Amino acid sequence: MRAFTLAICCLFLQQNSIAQNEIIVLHVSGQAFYYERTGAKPISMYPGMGLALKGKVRCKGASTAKLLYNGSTIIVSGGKYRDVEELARAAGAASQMSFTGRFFSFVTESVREENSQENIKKYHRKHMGKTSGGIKGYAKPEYTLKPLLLTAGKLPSAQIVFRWRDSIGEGPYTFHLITMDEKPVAQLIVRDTAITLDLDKLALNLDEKYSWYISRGDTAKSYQLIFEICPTSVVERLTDLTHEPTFLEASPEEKQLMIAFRLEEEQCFYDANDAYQRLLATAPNNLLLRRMYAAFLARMDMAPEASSLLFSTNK
Amino acid sequence: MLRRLFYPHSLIVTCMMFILIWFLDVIRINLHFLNPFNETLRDYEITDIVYSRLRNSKIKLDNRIVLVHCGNGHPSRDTLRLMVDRIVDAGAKVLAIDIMLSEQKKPFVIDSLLRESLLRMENVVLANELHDLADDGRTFRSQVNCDTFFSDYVYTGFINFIDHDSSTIRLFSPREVTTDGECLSFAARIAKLYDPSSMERLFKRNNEVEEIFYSGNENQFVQFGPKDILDSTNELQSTLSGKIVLIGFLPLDAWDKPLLDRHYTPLNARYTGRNTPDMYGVVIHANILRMILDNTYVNELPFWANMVLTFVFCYFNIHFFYQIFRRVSLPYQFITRFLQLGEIVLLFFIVALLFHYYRIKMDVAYWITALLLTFDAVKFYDNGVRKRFAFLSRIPYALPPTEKRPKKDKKEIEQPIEEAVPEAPKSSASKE
Repeated sequence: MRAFTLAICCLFLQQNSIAQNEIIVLHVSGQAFYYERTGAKPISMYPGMGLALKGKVRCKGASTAKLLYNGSTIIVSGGKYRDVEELARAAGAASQMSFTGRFFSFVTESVREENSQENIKKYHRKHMGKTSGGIKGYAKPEYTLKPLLLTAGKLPSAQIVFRWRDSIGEGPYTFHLITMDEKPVAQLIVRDTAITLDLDKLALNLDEKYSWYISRGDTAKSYQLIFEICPTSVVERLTDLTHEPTFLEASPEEKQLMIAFRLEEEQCFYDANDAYQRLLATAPNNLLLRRMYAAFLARMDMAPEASSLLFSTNK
Repeated sequence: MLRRLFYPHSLIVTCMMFILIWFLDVIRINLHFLNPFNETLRDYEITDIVYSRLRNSKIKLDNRIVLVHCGNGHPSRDTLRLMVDRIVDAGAKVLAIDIMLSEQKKPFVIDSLLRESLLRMENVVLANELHDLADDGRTFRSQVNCDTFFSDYVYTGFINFIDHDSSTIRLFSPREVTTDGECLSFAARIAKLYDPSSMERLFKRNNEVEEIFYSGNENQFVQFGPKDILDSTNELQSTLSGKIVLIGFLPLDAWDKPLLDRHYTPLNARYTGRNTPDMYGVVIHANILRMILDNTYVNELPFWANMVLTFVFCYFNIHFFYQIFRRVSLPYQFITRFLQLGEIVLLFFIVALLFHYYRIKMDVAYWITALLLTFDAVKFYDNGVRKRFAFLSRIPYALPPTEKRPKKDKKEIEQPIEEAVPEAPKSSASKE
């Protein structure tokens, strides 16, 4: 009898002590990478792949990855390096209620009737943000000012020129630099359609995201562009292509083009623009280069600049 | 012991109650059209709450089944061929394609290449549909939507669900009879190829239809997109080798989550009223497959067992209420209403518990009806029926206890019988 009890205890302990030592990739939308350690060669993640806890993951652009750890799913998105162990810890912290707990939670929730007709009538405004009838159109723009996308994504900690399109109206523009919870960082009144700021001099945190927008008068306003400061060393690591055989075999010009494209993929649009301009300065008559740069500008919502570049090419 | 549990009046009320329930059951059919809630609750079962709200959110990954999305829109057969090649190369054990290859498409060379790719593997299952039910109501006249160009060379399984008016998919038929002979459902066919013993277990149950046990949504399976499969840098062997690969429409990345091939299941967060379908067909097949392989079938109590349990529950409940009525007549109503509410919650808990842990499905509709009628039945019987019929008044509430024999002394038992016999008077003997 004693042995039997001991065996059951051991079994119970074993069941509870065995923790999953790896995370399983359930699904990948786009491209996501796993790094065995900092600075290691990136491994493209695919469904069913097991990730060791001592590593990092990162998604490219708007890609997402769904991971499974200890019965809980974790959604990873964004270009930041994320510790796998940290993700696992966060997933493990999610409370797992027992059946009885879930039952009584359900019963008491039913009794409370939070979404009763009376409550909806009383607090109807709370429920108005969820649904609306109709689709988004283009007839009446909500934002009349248009900032240029080059200063979105990842920006270097250096002097940056923030640009926007000129618009019909009077009075100066107001440049707003704010945190994600809408606290002001800087506010400047500008006559021109550009302003140069030294981001190194501003008290901006590396791990934080910021946004900027333009306003003019009381009504004209632009949408917010989100950016974050990304040190040059990180950008270099993100765009390191030296492990790609095709990169090693490419000509110096092609290499620069590949880097520019990679910079764009990593949302370092400002740096990508610089890379294209540097390339164009070295070979101004290279048709392929001009077309690629024009395509980049078009993707950045700078169609007039792109067409003028192509027009001068045709000349 | 049995005498202690036997209360004549409670038994009479229970029998009365059963007659009443039977009567209500009969007239319910006739009043069906008057029920305003019928349309809303028509597709609702008490176990839906267990699925949608009381289920353990912890996911158990299935290491035998892998889902592959075939691509948005109408999947190209050429892309499908490339995907099949990659999956066959990775060493999958069973490949099942939940796409109806209904007719040959031009250029025919693509179909020929696809067939060649399919024939590279032994265990390939294609989807077809059963069609045209015969007048006998049992035999299907045709199997459609899989061209014989493919179906003559590989296995097929029907993908029909049991669904009336876009209702929740709860049931599936493992096999059906067609004019060409017996054919298996898509999931059953895959299970037979992967683990024949699991099919023996299914057929031993001898049920024409089985209730689907949903172990979860698509997150319990590894999901590949077409890009993941076709990317030659991805090493698929470790993930797909020896596994069941289900190719179907699973656009999880699509921002609009198209409604094509999406169905209602009991896992839907909204278990009553208007809602949107929640599960793609291929995930339902994967759930059925997992149920067959794991032998986790839903079991229902037989009708007779349910009736016996209902009778027992009803009898003890009536006795309990009767005791309260006899002892505290005035607050009887107040106490019993609270008891009814408590008992309904308790019943729901028991039903949910049995389904959650043991997948036993109990029909407690009669139990609840009995519970709701108990209060009035006891009052009506004691105040009306019992007083009207004199013979009922003469029946005691409880059977009198049996008379106990007086215990004999130990000494008395040990005494020899002869000694116990009274001696004849000595005086008369001496006289003689």
